[in-house]
Amino acid sequence: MLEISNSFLFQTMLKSAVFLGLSAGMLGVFISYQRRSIEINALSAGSFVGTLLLFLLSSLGLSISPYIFSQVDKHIYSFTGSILGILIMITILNILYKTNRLHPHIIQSLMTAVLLGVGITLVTSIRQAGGALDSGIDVYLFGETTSLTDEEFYFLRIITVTVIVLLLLFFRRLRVVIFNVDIAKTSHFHTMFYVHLINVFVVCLVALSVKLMGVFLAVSIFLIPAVTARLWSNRLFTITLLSGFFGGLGGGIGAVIAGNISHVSSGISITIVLSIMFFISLLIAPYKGLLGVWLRGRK
Amino acid sequence: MLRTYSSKEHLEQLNVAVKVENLTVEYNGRATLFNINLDIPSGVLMAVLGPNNSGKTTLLKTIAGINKPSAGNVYIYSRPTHALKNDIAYVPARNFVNWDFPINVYDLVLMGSYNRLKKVEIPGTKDRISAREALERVGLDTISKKSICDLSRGEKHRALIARALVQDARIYIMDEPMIAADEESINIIIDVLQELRHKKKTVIVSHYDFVTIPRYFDMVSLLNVRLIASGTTEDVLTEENFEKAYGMSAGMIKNIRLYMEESHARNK
Repeated sequence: MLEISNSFLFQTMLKSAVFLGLSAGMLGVFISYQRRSIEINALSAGSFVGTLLLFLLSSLGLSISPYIFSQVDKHIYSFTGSILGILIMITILNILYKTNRLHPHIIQSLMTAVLLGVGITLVTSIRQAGGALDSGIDVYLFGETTSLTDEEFYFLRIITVTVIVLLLLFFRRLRVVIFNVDIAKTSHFHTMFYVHLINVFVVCLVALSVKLMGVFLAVSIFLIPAVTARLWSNRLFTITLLSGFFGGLGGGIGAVIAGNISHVSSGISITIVLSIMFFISLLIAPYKGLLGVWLRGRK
Repeated sequence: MLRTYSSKEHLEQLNVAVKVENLTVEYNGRATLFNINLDIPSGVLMAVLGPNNSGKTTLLKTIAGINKPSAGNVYIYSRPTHALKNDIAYVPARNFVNWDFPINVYDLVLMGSYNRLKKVEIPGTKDRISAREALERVGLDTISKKSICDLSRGEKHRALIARALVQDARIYIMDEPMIAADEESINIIIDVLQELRHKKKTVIVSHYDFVTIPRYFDMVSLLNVRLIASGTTEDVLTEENFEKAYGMSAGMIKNIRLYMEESHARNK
């Protein structure tokens, strides 16, 4: 165990999970109050399908022009596919929000179901065909912290630190924009700048979290810490800090478990740890926990 | 002694604070406002009245610069709305606010000072004093640490108005600030509106209760996608205009008129 814990790979894996948990937890608070929780599922599914399609296209290109396509690392395809998938998904969702009267949650759920269906069909086809592509697919289903390349880990560190710094720096204005966009507009804030800033963070963190957490569980690292933190406080700033703390702690413990127990993927272990934190908070949190509510009721 | 500007001549003497020219606003290809022309004098209390889906909120939001016109223009003190800074304080309708948002009353009210601050600047002592004064003005100073989700409906209205007061704007635009509020809250809100007019601020309020309009407001605009009439309450609140706006039968309007007269007599 000590040997594993001191290895470079394990250290990278642990740091990745902690950094991602910290930033996704903080961002998750803003996403949940924008009522975009289900959208994260749709974006994860978009990332999943984008990655698979670019994998397939790259293998097709490899058979047509081996020289050009063999020069590019397959991880570049996966990350580019992931980002493209999310961007296309955001565009489709925005078009659907504007062009019909369905509730956004219905649209998000519908798109998630459709894309997961497409994704699973693609996975089945790739598995049946076999070959080199088959080996990397499990990573996208349930996540694997060891799947990050050095470049992706470097990107993850830059993105997560940027997300944390900018969220804290623009906290006051972001709070107004999320509380009521009309008030923000009449206060002459550049509301679109803040909305797009959060969108950029979402695109980058979802693309990274799909690899670490898997397509089905990526949403948990954004939302479980935010919901857990809400049980402890009624002030947005405290909730944001607590959510980052829960996300980082859950990510770290989950990564340690996944690193030490074989056949446990990081997405599953991190989600289980975050869920345990949530249920403990539900019992003992002083603000909205069951014990706190009961004690206040007795007074 | 609630109203001060009762005559048409008096209103005409005032400068124009808000000028709406040929305004049309469309949503999903359907006009929610059509060809509105309206002058709102400076320093008056004006009500916007009309049935559901008549475009009251759309008009207020367009004047505030939140909605973009499909055609026409809005000028505030002769300048287009996008060129303004800190001139308009907007109070959204209670239903359009996320009351589960984790924030206490004091922090909500302090938000009114953010437009004066730079992007990353922290509110100073002056801003905090201003927030405390606004809280006292609306009678919420004793519950300033309370979470906004625990407020009553009337207190929610008052908290939103207090935030707008901290903004210290020249024009106040309020969307249904008294709907479903308790009597104490309505009285406090009316007092605040009168005080704003006393300070020569222009206040535009969408209001649901046409019975109380003659008591509280200097002028009224009656709306149903098109502007039916605008002017002093005596000129606008006529049977003919009501029939155009609400499509009500003459008998029903007569009953409303009787009720209004009785109500006025009681209030005198």
